[in-house]
Amino acid sequence: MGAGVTEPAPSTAVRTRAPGAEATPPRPRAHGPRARRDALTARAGIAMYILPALALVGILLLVPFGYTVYQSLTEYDGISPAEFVGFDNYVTLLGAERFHRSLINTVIWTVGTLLLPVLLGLLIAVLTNASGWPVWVRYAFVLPYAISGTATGVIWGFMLRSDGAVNQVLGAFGLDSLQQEWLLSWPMNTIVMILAETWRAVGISIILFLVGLQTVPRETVEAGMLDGASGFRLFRRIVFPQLRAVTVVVVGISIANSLRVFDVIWLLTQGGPGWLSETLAVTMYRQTFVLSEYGLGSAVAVVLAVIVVSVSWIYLRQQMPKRG
Amino acid sequence: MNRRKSAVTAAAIAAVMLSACASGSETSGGASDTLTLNGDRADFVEAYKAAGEELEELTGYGIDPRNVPSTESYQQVIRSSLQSDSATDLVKWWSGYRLKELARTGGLANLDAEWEAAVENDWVNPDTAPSFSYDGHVYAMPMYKSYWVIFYNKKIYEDLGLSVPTTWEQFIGNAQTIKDAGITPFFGTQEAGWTAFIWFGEILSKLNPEFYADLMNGDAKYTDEPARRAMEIWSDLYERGFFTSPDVAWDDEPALFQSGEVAMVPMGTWRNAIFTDNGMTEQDYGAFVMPTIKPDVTPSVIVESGVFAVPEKAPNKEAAVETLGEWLNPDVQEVWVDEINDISANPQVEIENPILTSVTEQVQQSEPIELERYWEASPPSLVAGNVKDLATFMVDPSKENIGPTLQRMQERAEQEWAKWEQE
Amino acid sequence: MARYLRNGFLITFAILWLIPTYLLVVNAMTPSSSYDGSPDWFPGGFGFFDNLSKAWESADLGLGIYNSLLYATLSAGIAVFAAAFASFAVIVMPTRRRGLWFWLIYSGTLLPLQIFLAPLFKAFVDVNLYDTQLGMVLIYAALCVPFAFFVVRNYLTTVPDEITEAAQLDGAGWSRLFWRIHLPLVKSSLLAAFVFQFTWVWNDLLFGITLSTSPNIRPVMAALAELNGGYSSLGPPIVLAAALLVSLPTVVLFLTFQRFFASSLKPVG
Repeated sequence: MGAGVTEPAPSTAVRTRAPGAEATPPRPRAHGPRARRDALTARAGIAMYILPALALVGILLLVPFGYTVYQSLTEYDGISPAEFVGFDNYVTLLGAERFHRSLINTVIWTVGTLLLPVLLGLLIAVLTNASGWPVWVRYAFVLPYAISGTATGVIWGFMLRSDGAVNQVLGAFGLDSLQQEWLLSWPMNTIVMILAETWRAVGISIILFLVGLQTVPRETVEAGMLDGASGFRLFRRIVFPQLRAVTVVVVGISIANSLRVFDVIWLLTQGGPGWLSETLAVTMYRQTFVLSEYGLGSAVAVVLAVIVVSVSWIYLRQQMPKRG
Repeated sequence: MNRRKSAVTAAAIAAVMLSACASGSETSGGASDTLTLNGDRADFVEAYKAAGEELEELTGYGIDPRNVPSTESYQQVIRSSLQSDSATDLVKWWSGYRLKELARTGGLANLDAEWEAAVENDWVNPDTAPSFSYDGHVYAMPMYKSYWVIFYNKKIYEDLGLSVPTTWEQFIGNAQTIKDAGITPFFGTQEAGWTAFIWFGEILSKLNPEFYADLMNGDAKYTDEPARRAMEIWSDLYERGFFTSPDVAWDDEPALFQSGEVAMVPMGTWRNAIFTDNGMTEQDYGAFVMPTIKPDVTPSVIVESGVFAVPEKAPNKEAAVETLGEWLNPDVQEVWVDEINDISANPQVEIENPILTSVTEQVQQSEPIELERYWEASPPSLVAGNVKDLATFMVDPSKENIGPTLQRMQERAEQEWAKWEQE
Repeated sequence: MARYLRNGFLITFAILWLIPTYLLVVNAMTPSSSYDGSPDWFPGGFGFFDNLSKAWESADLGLGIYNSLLYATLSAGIAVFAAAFASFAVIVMPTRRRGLWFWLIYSGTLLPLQIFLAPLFKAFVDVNLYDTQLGMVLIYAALCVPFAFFVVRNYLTTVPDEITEAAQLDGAGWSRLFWRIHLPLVKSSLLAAFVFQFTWVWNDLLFGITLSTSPNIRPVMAALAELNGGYSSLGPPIVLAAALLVSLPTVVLFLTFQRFFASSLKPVG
């Protein structure tokens, strides 16, 4: 196997990963056609690696998003020609009480899903990783993620409706006073839907944390134990810091998913009763596809996108591992 | 093996696989003697095909149906495709203001001539034209004509010695007896969203049908006395515990009705198809038009018709228009309504289902005025918003909540009517 | 003491987690004719296969399953490789403006999915991708790239610089570095990303019903959606039975890889 023969020779920019140099590869020292060609080849090589991902995302996701941004500046019902209205849609949104409710719910969702699936996922991953637990225990937590959204919707409807399983159980144990119309009052409906989403999504954090735990070298743990650390202290001092890369992934994903949460709400309450349990994603969907106010819906989409990107940016800029 | 070569090979394999990908069997330029039809009701697909076979004998064009299994996605697909030439030849749509919304953009083909011909043949009641028209022109043909009735569980009625009510007092008396027997008298839910308008519409139309029509057209206010009175009656019924919980699943309604957990269900006669499919017969259930609240109120019944329209840019527009001209032909309608178990828009078409027959008999006897269903009777965004307010009211159906609810509905009505007129 | 606490905690939560799953299975087995409108706690008969065959008859589940297998495998595969390439470029290669490339690609997973529907539908119709398998594979691949990129990129950062440098001193080029050194080292993250994205594509409904309509193109969840909804006479037991069946592939995939993650992963480096 003629390794290395047909590959492009590493350019002059091979050893560039000194601290601080990551954004600018050194320029080729020599000027002239040869060096320039080398630099071009190097850049073309890099482009080849980025291009597939960038093309897919750019053409199929970013371009439509750009279109949405434009649409948010128009009044458009999906049929008649769009009419440019500037920032009218945004002004309308800021003044709408329902939009505020939607924002509040989105915040509750974000806090809730950061606390529950992430922390619970970490806890369960660590606990089941530690000792010889029967496999079904971990299966119990991971299974729901693989179950389809339709089934999740039907099942949680079974659980939470006034005539549903939760109230049946409470009744059977004589706890009638605790029975509630779970999906009908705010903020209870948002809280129980966060629990339903936790049920579904915790598996993904567990698996990611488990993958992360595998990368924690045994020796560091043993060294920590020799130093007399154990239990929670051992975890906090030794294990958790080494989970940073994976924690960033889990938290990053949770931020994005919780801010965009849609399916579980649409399946269980459609954002209702009335508008009580709407989040930004649900508001956007309803404005656009139920009310056919494409302009206003797009404005909600843009606001939501700005929030998700900036929150992710703030978090990831601080936390994301740069280089090993 | 060389890595780069392997990468190239992998890319080549992927490219071959991708290029071998299939196109849609129903969207890649079908035969010219079939018309494509798009809809959002999977349960109609077989019926479309059956009716299509009859149509083919009459016009030479059959029907090739597709389906989008979500109403929201379906509406969006139709809206986007009306502007392009990707529209199907026929589209299922809603009557009233939902149709006007499409028609006024110029996206639908004019069906005046076909409607006239149907009227001349006595295939359709000419008085219903406004439901299918915009600006005096017809743009759609009715798929069926559903009457909104109360389905009742006959076994419960027999067990408790009740008879079909002809007055409001009897109706409420029956409900009380059923309630006392530990059974929920009425089905009512906001779970599916749109279902929140059902009881409001039923009560208001049986309280003051003229006001109902005015309110729907924007000539009356939600804060006016009759609307307030209707909400009070609704609130009273809630206070007496007559309704299911407002979050009961609409999908569960047939099961609850069949198993006798709920005694009475207000719904369009199209619901009959599901009850029959589930094996219920005329021994098990019947249907009646809800009695008026006072004896001197004009009898009325709420009517609903899904429609077919032809997009202006449909690939087979001429053929589609011609086909809709034959749609109300009794030969086609007999097959069609037999499949969907509902009532034909063509009054000549005989119905075999005994429950539907009993409904048409009741209608012929009392000659009620026909009112449009709430969903189609006002501009779509007004309806969609007000249905949400009604849903919120169902969760808190207290007397105190009536004023604020109607106030919000009226404010929206003013806004949305202004928008509608302006466009 | 701590041990009992821990065991108690785990067992309690595991049981809580199993209750909805249990209800799912029990109610999928309830014969649809004996369903009375509220959930059963105990099987009232065995109607699972009956329910299943009804579902199979009414919706073209077989074709849907085939399509979804194709989309999920191809799209997740393409996405994971595209993501690995891009991660390699922004982490190992001396790329300029890494931050920009990262955010351009990653932002794809931050945008609310529903906003893509209307523009994509129009665009797909215009370029004849609407209702084609190619169109479905492309859009799913695009939707899968950002997440896979994020995961793989972060795992790549755990590969020590020295490994790269040593290989380069031996004269290895980028291509060799990528295929022989880095890819094998982050294999587990590639697998994790693939499993998650496969599951995501498999469970997607939104894009399936918007961008396809023919039975030979439609993914399985779109076919399943035909059973659901208030206009269908098929009650919840049939929907659940079908949902249970179509969840099997992802369940099997998850359980298989779950074991893999738990046992055979080697620390990187």
